[in-house]
Amino acid sequence: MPTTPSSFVHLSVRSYFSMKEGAFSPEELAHRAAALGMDAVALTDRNGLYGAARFAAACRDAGVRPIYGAALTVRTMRGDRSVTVLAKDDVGYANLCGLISAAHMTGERGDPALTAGQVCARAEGLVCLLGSGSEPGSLAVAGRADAALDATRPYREAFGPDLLVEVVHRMEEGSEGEVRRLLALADGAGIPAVATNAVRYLVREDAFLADALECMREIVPIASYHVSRRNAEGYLTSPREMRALFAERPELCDRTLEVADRCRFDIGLGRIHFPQFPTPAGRSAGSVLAERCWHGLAERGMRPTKRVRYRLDHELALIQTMGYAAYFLTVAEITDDIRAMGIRCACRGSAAGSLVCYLTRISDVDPVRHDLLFERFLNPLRAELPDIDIDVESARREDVYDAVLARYGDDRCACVTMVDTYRARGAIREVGKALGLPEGEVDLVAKAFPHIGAHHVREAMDHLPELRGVNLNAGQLDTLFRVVERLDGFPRHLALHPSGIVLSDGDLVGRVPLERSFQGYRMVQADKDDVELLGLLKLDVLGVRMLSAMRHAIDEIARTEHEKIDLERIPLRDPATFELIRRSDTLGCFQIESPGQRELLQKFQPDEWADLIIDISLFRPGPVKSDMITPFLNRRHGREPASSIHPLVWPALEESHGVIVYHEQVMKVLAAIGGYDLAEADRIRRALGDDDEVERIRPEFVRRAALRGVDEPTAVVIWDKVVQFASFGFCKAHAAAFAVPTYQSAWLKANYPAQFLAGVLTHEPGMYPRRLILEDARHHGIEILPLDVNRSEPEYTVEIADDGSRGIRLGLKDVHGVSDAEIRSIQEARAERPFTDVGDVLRRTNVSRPVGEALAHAGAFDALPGTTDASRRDRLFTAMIADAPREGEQATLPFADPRPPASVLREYSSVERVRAELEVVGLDASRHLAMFFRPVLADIGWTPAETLGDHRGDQWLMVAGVKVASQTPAVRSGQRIIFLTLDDGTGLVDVTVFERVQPWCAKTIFHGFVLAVWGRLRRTGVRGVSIIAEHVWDIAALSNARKEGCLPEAMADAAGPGPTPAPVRKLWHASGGSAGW
Amino acid sequence: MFESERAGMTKLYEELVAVERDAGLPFAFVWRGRRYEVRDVIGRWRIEGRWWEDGRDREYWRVEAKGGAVIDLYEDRRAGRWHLERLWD
Repeated sequence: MPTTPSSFVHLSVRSYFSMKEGAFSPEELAHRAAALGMDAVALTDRNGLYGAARFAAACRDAGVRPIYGAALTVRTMRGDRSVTVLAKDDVGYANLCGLISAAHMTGERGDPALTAGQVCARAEGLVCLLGSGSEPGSLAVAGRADAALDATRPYREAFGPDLLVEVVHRMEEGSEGEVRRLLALADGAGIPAVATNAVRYLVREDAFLADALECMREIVPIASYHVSRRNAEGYLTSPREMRALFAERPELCDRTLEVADRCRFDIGLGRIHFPQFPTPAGRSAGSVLAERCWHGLAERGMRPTKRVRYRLDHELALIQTMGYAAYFLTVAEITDDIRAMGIRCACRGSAAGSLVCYLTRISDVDPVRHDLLFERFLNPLRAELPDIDIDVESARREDVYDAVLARYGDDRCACVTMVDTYRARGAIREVGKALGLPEGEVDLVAKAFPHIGAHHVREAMDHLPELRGVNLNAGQLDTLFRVVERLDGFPRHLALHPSGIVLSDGDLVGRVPLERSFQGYRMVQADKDDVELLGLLKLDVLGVRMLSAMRHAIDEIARTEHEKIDLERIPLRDPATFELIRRSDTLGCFQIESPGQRELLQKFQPDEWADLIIDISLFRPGPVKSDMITPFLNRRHGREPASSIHPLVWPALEESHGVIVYHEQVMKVLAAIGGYDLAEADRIRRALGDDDEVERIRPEFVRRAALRGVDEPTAVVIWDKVVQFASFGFCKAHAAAFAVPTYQSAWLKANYPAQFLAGVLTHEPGMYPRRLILEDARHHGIEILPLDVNRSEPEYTVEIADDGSRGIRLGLKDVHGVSDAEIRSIQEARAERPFTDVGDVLRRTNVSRPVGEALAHAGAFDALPGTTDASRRDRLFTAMIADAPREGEQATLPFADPRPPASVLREYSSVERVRAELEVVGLDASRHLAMFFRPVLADIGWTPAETLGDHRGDQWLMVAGVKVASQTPAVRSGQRIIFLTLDDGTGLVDVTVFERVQPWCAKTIFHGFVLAVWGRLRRTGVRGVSIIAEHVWDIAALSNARKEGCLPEAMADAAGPGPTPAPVRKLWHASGGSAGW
Repeated sequence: MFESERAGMTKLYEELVAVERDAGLPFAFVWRGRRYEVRDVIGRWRIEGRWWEDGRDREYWRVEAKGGAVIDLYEDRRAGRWHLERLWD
C-alpha cells in the first residue's frame, strides 16, 4: 500500500474543548493536519461541538476538509463508556446535535450521559466507532468475547454498515493484546475495523500537557499512578507512522479514507439562518413590518414628510432584500414584552440609527431628527449580521431572559455561551496543586499575577520583587510555568454570556447542541463569534443599573409625591436640567458623572440635546488624546471662526462647527466629496484603519472629487482629515442612544433629587462610592435619615418631613450580613405592630445575633420608643448578649427582657456614629480598623485622613487604612509604580509606591488588607495630597506584635532601609541601633 | 492479575548492555561480557513521561534469547544507552 501523505485520516481527535483532556485548539488541529498533508481530519470532542464553528473556519483557511463528530458518554450498568460518532450529512449532524443536547439536558449539569438506546435511536446519518472505551470494546479487551459480541448487537442493528470497531495501537506493553482482541471482536461480529490514534496532543513534545490536564481534571497530584498515558504516542501521527504501526493490517488505515469519504457534511459557514416570525396567512414578514412602521409614524407623532417616507421605504427595502424582516419583528415583539412587564429598556448602539427601530419602538431615538444614518447600522455591502443591543433594568435582567426564552421556546431560542479561559492566576493555582507544590507558596506566586495572560508569567516573574522571597526552587517554578504558559487561552469552563440570546428558526437544535448554564438557562455550545460564524442572529440584552436606579426613582416619586412620571414624555428642553448639567452637578448621572466629564461639561456649557450627543462623543480616549476637544470648544465659544475646507462638506460638519466628531460625518463627507452612496461610504470608513487601503482608495477619491469640482490639493487635505478622524470619530447613533438615559437621569436629578439619589444609592449605577453620593445628597439639602428598624425599607427610600423637606432613609439591605429572609421577617413583624424595644425586635423576628449587633451598632434601634434613655452602646450590648428567646420560646437566659435597667454605657461619639453609618453603607471593612486597630494606630502615630490637608508638604507621616484600591498602570519610563488607596474611616488616602521601595513593600501591599504606610506628604492640588511611601506594614501583624509587646521590633523587621518612623528609631536607639532585623 | 502472576518469576537487573541491531530490531546483546543472540522479538513498547521527575523516554523490547530466556531490554532514548531491565525465568 502506498503511504502518500494523504493516505490516512484521523477520525478520533479531542481538542481543548474536551475540557482538561485535549491539549490544542481546533485551529491548531486544522493547521497541523494541513502541514502533514492530510486531506481531511475529524474533531470529536467529548459530548460537545464547542469547537465546530472555529474548526470549520480554520479548515477552510488551511485547505483541509473538516469532519464533525463527538465522543458521547454512554452510561451502562458497569459504569461510563464512550462511543465516537461522526456526521455523514445534514441529518446526521442534526442527530449529533440532538444527542449532545439530550446528554446535557437530561442528566445532571456537568455530568452529560446517554444510554446506548438513546444513541441507537438517532443513528441516521451517523458513523459510529466502537473503541476500547465503548461497552463492547471494553468487554473484548477484558477477554469477555461473548459478552462483547452481545453488546454490539443494538449498535449493529442501528448503524448497519456505518458501525466500525476502532483500534488504537498505543505502543504500550499491553497494546498488542488489546489490538488482537478488538480485531477478534470485529471479525466475530462481522464489523469492519478502522485504525485511529485517539489524539490528545498534536506533537509528541506536548504529551506532558495531557498529564497535567488529566490530573487537574481528576484533582489528583501528578504522579505515575495518576497518569493514564505510558508514553507520548497519542499525538497527531503522520500517515506514514500510522501505516507503519498497522503494517500487518493495511486495510485498517485504508478504511479511514472510506469513512472520511462518507462524512460529507458541510456546516455552511456564513449561511444565515433567519428567525421565523409567525405572520397572518398570506402575509410576508416584510409586509407586516412595513405596516407596523406606518402605524409607528402615528404613534410617534411623526409627520410623514417626503423625507421620512423616502427614508422608511429605503430602510424597509434593504431589510426586506437582506431577509431581516422577521428578525426586526421578533426584536420589536421582545421590547414590547419587556415594556409590558413594566421594565425599562433602551436600545444602544448603531441600531438607534434606524427609523424602523424607532417606529417599532425598539429604539427611542428619532434618527431623522438627529440625522443618523441607517447604513452605519445595516450595510448591504457588508456581510455582517445586524446586532441589536437592548439595555434593561439590571435588577430585572433575569426576568427578561425568562420571558424571552419562554416565548420562543427551546427549538429556536437559547443563550450564547462565554468561554472562560485560563488566566495566569487560576492556572498557577490549579497546576501548582496538581504538582503538589505547597499551597501557601503557590498562592503567593498566583497573587502576583492578577490580570496578565498565562503566557507572560516568565517575563513577569523577573520583574516582581515581591516574588524574590518565594520558597520554591528554580526547578519547581520551571515545571510550574512550563505548564502554566501553555494553558493560556485553554477553555476552563463555559459560562452564560452576560447578554447574548440567539434567535433562530425552529431548526436551531439541529444546528447547534444545547446545554444548561449554572443558573439553569439553556445555552448553545457556541460563543458569540461562533454564533456569527454559524449565521445565527442574536439579540444582546444587557442589564444596566442606571435603568434600575431610574425605575426606583420613578417609583419613589409616585409613592411620595403622588406624581406619575413618564420619562418618554418629559420636556426635552428643561432649563433646570441643562442648568444642572452646565454647573456639572452630575454625580450619579449616566455617562456624565466622571471628574473628566464634569470638567468638560463646565467648558462646553451644553444647552440642548444635540450638545449632549457631542459631549458624550468627545469624551473618549481618542478625541481627548488627539486634542480634538480644544478646537471644538474654541469654535463653539466663538474664539475661533467655525469654517470648513470646502462648502460641500459644510452641511455634514455644521452641527459640530466644522470639526469631525462622528462616524456619520465621515460617511457624509465621503459621500459629498467622493460622490459615494452611504453604504459605500461606510465601507470605505471601515477600511480607513488599514494603511494599504488608505493608499489604495486615495487616488480614486481625488479623481471622484474632481468630478464634483473639488481641486486636487483641497481633495487631498479633506482626505487626510477624514483619514485622521475616522479612527477617533464616534458612532453618533450610539451617542444619541446614550444621551437618552443621560438626559433622563439629569432631569430626574434636577427635578426630584431625593428620589433620584435614593435610586442611585440603591442600585449603585456609577463610579462613586455611596459615601460620596450621600455627601452629594447633603449638599442638595437632603437629610440622610439613619437606619430605623421601624421605618427603613430594604432599599433607600424618600421621606417627606413636616416642614416639606425631603430626606433619604438608609435601607436595610446594606446592613452587614443581613439576608432577604431577615428583612422580610422585620417587615412582617412591624406590619403587625411597631417594635417597642430591642428585645421586641429580637423576639419577633428571625434576625441572627451578628445582624442584630450590626443593626444596633448602626443605630437601627436608636429610635425605638422603649429605649430612648439607653445609649447605643447599651443596645449593642443587649443585642450581643441576648441570645434572643424567640416568640413562643421559653426564656433560658438572664435577659428574658433584654432591656438594661438604666444607661450604663457611654453613648457613641459623633465620629463613631458617622463611622457606623459608613459601615452600614458598605464599608464594613473599616470597622476592623476602627474597632480593633485603634490601640496600635495610636502607638504608631497615625494621622487620620481627614486631617492630612492640614499638614505641610514634605512632612513625614504615618497613614493607615483598609486597602480599597491598588493599581499598577504601565508608565512610560518603564518604572512600575503602585498606586494605593487606603480608607481609614475618616477618609481616603492616596499612596504612591515607587519602584525604589518595592523590594521591601510590594509583598505586603499585595497580600495585606489593612495597611500602615509611612511616607512623605506631597501636595497635588489645593486640597489634594498623596503620600510617597517609604515603608509599608500589615496592621494585623503589627497589632499582634503589640499584644506580645514587641511592636517596635515587628516594625523594624518589616521596614526597609532609609528613614524610619519614631517607634523604630526608639528601638534602634535602645538596642544599639542594629539595622540587621 | 496477569502482570503480577509473572512478576514473581522475574529478576530485575537494570544493567547496561551493548546491543547490536539489524534493520532496527535488536539482533544480539552483550551482557556481563557474554554475547546473546536474539531468536525472536516478542514485544515492543514505549514509555515516556514523568516529566515532572526524571522525564524518562524508553523503548522496550521483549526478546527471546537463544536458549529460551525471555529478556526485557530497553533503550534509554534520551541517553542513547541500552539496559537489560529484567529476566523472565
